[in-house]
Amino acid sequence: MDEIATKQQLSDCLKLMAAFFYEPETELFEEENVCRNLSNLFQSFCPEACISVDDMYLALQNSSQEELQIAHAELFVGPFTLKASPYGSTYLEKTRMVMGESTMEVLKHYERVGLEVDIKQPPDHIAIELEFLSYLCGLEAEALQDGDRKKGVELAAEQKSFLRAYVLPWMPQFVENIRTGTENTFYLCLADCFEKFLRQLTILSKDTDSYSSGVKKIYVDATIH
Amino acid sequence: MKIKRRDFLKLSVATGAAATVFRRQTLNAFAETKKSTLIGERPGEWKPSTCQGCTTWCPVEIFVQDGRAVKVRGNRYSKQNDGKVCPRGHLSLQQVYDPDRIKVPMKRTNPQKGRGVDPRFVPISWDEALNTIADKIMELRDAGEPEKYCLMRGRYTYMRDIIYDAMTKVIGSPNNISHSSTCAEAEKFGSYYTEGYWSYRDYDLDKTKYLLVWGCDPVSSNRMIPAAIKKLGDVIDRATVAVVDPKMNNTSAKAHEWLPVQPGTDGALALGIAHVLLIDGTWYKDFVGDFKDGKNRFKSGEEVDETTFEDKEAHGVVKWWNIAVKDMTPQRAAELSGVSADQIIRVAKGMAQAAPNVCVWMGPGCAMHVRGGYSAMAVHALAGLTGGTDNEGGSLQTAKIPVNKLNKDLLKTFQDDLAKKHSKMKKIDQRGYLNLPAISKGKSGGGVSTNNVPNGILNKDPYGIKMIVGYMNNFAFSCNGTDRWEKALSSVPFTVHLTTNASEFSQFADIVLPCVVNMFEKYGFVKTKANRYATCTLLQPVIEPVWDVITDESEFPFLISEKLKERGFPNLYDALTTMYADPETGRKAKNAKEFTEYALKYYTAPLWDGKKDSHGDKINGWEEMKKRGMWNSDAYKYKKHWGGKYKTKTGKFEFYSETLKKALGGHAEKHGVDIDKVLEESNYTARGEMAFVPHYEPPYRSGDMKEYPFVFIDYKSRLNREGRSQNCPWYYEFKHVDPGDVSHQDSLKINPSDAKKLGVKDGDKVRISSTGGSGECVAHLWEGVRPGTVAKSYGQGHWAYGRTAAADYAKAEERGINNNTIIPWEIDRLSGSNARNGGHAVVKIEKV
Repeated sequence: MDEIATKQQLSDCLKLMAAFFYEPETELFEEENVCRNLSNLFQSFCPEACISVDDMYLALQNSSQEELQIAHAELFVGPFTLKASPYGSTYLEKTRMVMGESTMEVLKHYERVGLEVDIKQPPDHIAIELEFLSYLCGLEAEALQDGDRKKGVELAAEQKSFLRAYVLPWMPQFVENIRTGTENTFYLCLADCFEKFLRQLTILSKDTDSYSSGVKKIYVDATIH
Repeated sequence: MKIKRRDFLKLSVATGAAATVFRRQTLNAFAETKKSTLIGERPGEWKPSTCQGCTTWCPVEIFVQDGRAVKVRGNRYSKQNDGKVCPRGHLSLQQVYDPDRIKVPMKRTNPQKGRGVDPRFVPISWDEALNTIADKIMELRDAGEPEKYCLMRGRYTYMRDIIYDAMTKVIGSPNNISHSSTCAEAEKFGSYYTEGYWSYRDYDLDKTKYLLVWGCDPVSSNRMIPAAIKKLGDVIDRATVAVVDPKMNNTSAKAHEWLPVQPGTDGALALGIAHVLLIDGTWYKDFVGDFKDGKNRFKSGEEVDETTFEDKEAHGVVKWWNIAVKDMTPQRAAELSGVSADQIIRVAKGMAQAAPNVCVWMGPGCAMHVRGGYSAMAVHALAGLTGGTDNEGGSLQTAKIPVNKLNKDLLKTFQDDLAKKHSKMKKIDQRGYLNLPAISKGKSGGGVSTNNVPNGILNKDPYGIKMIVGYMNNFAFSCNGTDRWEKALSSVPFTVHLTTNASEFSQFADIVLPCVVNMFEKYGFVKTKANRYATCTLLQPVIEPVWDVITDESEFPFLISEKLKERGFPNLYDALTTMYADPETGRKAKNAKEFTEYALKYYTAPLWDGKKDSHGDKINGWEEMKKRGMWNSDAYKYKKHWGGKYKTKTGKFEFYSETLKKALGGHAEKHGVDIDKVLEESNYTARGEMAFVPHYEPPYRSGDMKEYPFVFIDYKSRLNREGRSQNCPWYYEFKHVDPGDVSHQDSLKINPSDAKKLGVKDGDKVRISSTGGSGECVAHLWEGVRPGTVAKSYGQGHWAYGRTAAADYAKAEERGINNNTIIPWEIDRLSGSNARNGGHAVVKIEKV
């Protein structure tokens, strides 16, 4: 498969993964074939995650909407203890607050490419960050399509920089929190799927070809989870 | 958080196909923007609002950069705090950016209610939430029982009228229940039944020569904190500072005198001081009056002929002496209170020397007892005896803040017959019952008794409650006797909780609605005072809220009014849009946000519309008011109520309270009994004339001291944003700023001599138990509590809250133990107050 198609597919993978962190809507997912599409995308990009997506599909079929909503709320919404906080700053910074310094850095990345957050959530919500990566990846595919390799390289570097600084550092703890925070099969399968996908992204981000020149160091201590 | 664009889920290219050009990706969480500068490059701005972390209600400014609040300071125009805030102001940043805040409306899916029972909340739309609530209100009205709707009010701004009065009354319920008696109604009782002032006093620290702080810690809590922090050093240099508190606090640590009173015996100590002032002949005669021949007849144990004395600004000092003071020698007071006679005499003589510039700073610690009403009167009587009431260097009343009031007559026109009739029914807190006089401002049942609500609900007396709307409250945690609240709330079929964070109260809710954090996201106003200046300060939305929240006091009633109108009941909508039309243009609000600003303009207009002299800052229009954020009065004029202008029955400061006599008489008459019977039913020991004077009541203890040998002392942390900072990590990190406390601990302070007898070492985990409840905390050995007493700060012990505040929500495990679980349910029946001080909680301590 050519490079452009690969980028497009990665972009799609990222946004479909993002979708699973929104409130679960079984009917919508079913109508839009979200699981099937993701499974197909993963066949070339991340084959080991296919089985998890298939399990997610089965779990969706076998769970009531209410069960899914309860599990989703407990993990990512509340109202009491947020079992798997979906906000980057709560892992990347010492005080477990939203809208921290790292959040503002994330926002800066969005602004740099002409985007602003259009939902009532802190900008470093995992779903928003994944959509951002998807968007960049899509732009990269466009650039490559246009033959603008320089722009493509810059966009790839931006993805990696963002991924390494603001996403990957908190993912192990986030995935672990999902696992320990729920007994719901769908979200346990999502954790498996997401972990495998992240592994693939990590491998890509370590690829030290020309992309690495754009990586920017951030001042936030990313080792504190 | 729902996916809002279906196209977002569509693939950009069919899998496996060759790449095709795809442009304009479908965005879900994003919109395109064109900003010329980036984050960090744009200048920030100080924006005015108000801190409600305690009841100082400081005018503040918040530095906002890139839409994010990053720093807090006092409002530059404030004549109260001079641009400074206390630690609570800074702590607020962790409140507004708490990841555990409620983010969307949610509903319970598990009908079973109880502690440890997972409500299984799920997000719902605003529409579903509001429709459900409106349907429930209509069900009550259609059934002809709107009184079964109950509004419970926690912390408020003065926009409270809308949700508390207007909404409740137009629906047709008498049950607008305030939290006020949780705070300090017994304290107000003390000043009302002596000087006719049902409010907190101001204190003239700049001019005082003797500061007697009683039952509070002004640099930590109690109503003018930044000013107290700033001024205490000067006061210590210039004047004498004495602090009465059963445990060492921040102020007493720096004071000249610390009087570690035995909990609940404040009345005896105050009378002991009064006794010395009188037998020494050093009371302030220009205020109290004097013997006609100038010869002092006050001698310990001897009655005095009333006719020999001529009252001046005060009334009945001789009667008071004869009834309650003559036998309370310093020696007797020392026996009862645990404070030495020498110290009592020394303090009394010091006060006499400084009179009339004596500031008696009475706090809730000497008032919020089971029998605290008279104790509060006794302490405040010292302000009268030394001439320090309403006087230079003393305790003051307040300058007027000429804001508009709720138009009650107009409101009545929007009540239908059902509402008119049912809103006059008895209230669920049983105020005004024979055993619950709650005689606020002289009226039987005139005050609230928040902590008696669970009794009303559980006994369905006067009737059952079917629907509760609670806002910015957590009565299942903040009222002593938490078990009673848990039972009562479990029994209510439908409860709505408007709040920033889910808490113990939300555990019993059917719908929780995410609300603004007052200081950062809300329009409102409050009235406050300090340093002789009265202040009206605005709360303003200085940031765009991170989540989808509403303003509890104004937007919620407006949104519900729209839903009720859709259901054929337009009265509330008509009332709100008519009563709160824009005072400048007369326009009626078209949406909840517009309504909120119009309502705020309506109330505050006299401060900025230029129509009349406000007797304070001159502010030119609404925009300037918002920009400044506050208004200062002119300085309060001393002796405003001298010359017979106190709002008591006699017009004078009453040592013999004709005002209380009338109030108790009215209550007794209402029930066809005598006043002695009222006092008996109210758990007071006074009979006869004793009922009308400040006197000593033996402290009430809930339990056998053979089994529970320690008296428990509750106090407030200087980091408590009332009850709303326990999910902030800084609260635990900096907890050591409270004397005797250790960071990251719920420290129980035990005197080392007691600890030795118990075999408890510093840092040991201990179980504390009373007749009310039991829990675990950590022993800290400390000489700041006297042997036989133990002390713990209120605040920790949540079992249903966010990750930081609760140990394990799923298992309902507390982090520490809530003082209000340890303090058994009790109230002061004369004022209606929660009884949290005075040591009625007696406890045993066991090493775990």
